[in-house]
Amino acid sequence: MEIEDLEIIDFFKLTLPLDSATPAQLESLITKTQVAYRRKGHILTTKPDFLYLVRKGAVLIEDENEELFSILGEHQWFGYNSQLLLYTHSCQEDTLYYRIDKKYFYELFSDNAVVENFFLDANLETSLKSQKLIKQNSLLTNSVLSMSRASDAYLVDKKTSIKQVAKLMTENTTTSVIVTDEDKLCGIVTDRAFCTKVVAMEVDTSSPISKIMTNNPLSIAHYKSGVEAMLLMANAHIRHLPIVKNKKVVGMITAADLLRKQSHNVVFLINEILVSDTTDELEEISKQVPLLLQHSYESNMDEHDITYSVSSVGRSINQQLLKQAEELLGQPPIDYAWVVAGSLARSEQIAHSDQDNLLILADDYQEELHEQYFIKLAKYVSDGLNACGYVYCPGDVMATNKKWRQSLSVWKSYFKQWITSPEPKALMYASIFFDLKCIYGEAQLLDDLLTNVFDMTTRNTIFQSHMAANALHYTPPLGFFRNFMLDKNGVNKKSLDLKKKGVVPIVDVARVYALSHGVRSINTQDRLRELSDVGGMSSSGANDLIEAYKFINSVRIKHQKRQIKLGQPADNFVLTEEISSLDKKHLKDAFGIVSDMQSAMSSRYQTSIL
Amino acid sequence: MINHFLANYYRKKLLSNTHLPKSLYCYLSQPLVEGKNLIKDIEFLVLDFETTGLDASKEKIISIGYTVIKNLHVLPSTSRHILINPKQVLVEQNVAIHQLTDEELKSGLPLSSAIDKLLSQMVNRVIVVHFDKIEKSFLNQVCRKLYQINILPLVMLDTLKIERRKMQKTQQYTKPDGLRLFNLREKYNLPRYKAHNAMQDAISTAELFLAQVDYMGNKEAIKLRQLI
Repeated sequence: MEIEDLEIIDFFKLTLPLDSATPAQLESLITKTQVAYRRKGHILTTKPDFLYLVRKGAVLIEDENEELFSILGEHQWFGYNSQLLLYTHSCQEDTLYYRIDKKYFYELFSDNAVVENFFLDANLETSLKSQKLIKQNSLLTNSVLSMSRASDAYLVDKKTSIKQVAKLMTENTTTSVIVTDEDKLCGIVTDRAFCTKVVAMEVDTSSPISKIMTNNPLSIAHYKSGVEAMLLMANAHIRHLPIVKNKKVVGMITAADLLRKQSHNVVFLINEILVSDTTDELEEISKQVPLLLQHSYESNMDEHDITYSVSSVGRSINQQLLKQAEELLGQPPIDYAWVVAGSLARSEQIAHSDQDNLLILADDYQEELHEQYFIKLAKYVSDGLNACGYVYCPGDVMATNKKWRQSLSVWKSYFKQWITSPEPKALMYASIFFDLKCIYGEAQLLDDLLTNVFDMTTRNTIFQSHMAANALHYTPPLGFFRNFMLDKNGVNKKSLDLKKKGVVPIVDVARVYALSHGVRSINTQDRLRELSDVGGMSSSGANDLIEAYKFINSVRIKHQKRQIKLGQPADNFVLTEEISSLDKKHLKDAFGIVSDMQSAMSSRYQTSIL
Repeated sequence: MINHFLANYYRKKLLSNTHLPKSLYCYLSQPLVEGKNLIKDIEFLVLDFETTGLDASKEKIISIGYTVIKNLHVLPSTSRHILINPKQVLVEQNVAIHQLTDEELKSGLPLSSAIDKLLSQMVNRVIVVHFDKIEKSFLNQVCRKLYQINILPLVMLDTLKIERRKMQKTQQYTKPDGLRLFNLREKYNLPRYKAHNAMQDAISTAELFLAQVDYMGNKEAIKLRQLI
């Protein structure tokens, strides 16, 4: 007398859809079945790895608002819909229940359409009921199979040659293929293997692919959720997971598939930007930027990461517009560098801001031959940026302005002019044009220009003094907490412009030191770190300034987070009552550091002699 | 077991005997589970004996049923029913209760092989029974007969005693038969099973044990000694 005599077998036979199972399947199912008990009125903890079946008693499912979703009795299942696992399952009566290994269950019945459809239908029914939930949560709770793109899985037999696989991957622009042995998963090859194994180890490309594949890779069952796939990838440091059903490969889920499900994710946004074909599409995508910000704030991202993410999106939009323009206008007649200035160049953008851009053209530029092309190019990009929320620069520092669309030698003469005769206007330009980054085209053009510029700035002490004096224009409001120093316009009463009074002075100090010491970085924190490395600034001074910068920015971000939450446009004017007393104390210290650094700079560059 | 220390001492003493049969030696060579252990980490072997009567000195075991509890879940696939060839004709009364016939039992295992099998299942596990008098007395009687040892060192929990203690604590009154397995299962809203054999009764006892444990509160934190 053994397992077939167990009462549980009789119970299974009377439970849909197990009535369609064979006796052998039922006995097999018993090996992965466990019996558990939960008393009345208590929460039943559910895990995603199991299917649950009520043997006796009643289970109550309630949604996040404690509204009744469903009551389950004998012979009824739960746990097959992973979305519902977020709901509260509690016992309305003392409950005896079975839990069955989900993976094993689906594999056991992979050939039984009745069983499969039973849960699919049940899923559909509960899905309709829980649409509200689906909307609120990320779609990552769907099954991996539904998330993967069919075209993502390329299967090759393990005997296929490396050369053939490389060809297949190139033709299909895929970064990975699954290697099978008689339809069963036996390995995976990513494009990296061609670099690390084929090239680095000089493997003969006519050898079978099995020679360079990763053996027995991790895989994921087709019914598992995206969350599980993500965790699996994160734990194993991998980006590709074959999807298996009954040991056969049915697809592939990649990190990119998962990211695509999170529309507020920066990688997703950039990905979308890079595949867009028109300005209209880009305009749609750029509307996501505030969402991205909100999400970044809510996930407590570091201020440096936030500004870096936002700047990356801005750069990608610039790049994509240029690509589109080139497709429209044809190949450029000569080399050019598309250069951005200001916060975007420094990777310090927080939200949409004005566009500052310029064109450096190669010295074989001939106005009569080439001008029309670059006028059109600049106009296309500038208009596109404006549509995407990066509005036209009020100071007209844009490549559409002929003055800022010049050949390398003209640019060199501009800088020579500004540096050798630093007039007020020149100094204003300097603060814009000393933070430059080439984001499209021939970067060497900008490099050549900067080599020339730094040669002058590091030697010209008079220019340095002027820059330093100019950098004292904005000073931190030391008296702020005693009696509020307001902006002269008086518009923002009892508020503090954290950008002008806090961030800009530090950015300016970092720039002055960088220019005089030939430090080519443009991100403020990078500049300060490198200055400390080359001895341009004491390491304690640099560190203090970095901390002050980070702290002021964090208060600024906190403020904007609050505004976004309230649905207001984000600005830099922080109300005094918004700042906690602890933050006030730190802010005072931070302003003190900035002020000290400004004085140090003032004496170091002898601004008093001007 | 109040005297965990003594039981372990006795176990070690028995181990020094060089003529132990292999199954007994294997069982005794593992220490008994200690009272400080959390029950969620313990494996339980839930047992039920069917016997020809109540008096262990005169009557015989005719079948042994058991199942395993691990992580506070019953594992039905571990359930087994071992029939024992009694080498004597059954009294009619027992046939009615157990639904086992002479014919079936004749195909059963010799007693010594059945006990070997049982001992191999008991290694590192805590025994759970309902009404420990039967299993304890018959098990000791068998060990005396087969191995010439008086008491088999073990840790045994009794679901009947667990329930009685609980009722004494809350000063509840119970009818004389209120502590029977069948009635207790009803009390905990456990299903009524048709079959009545040692294996199914072991499962019934196992489920009752899970219910009792769940009613004790945070079962993750319960230590073995709280149930002894």
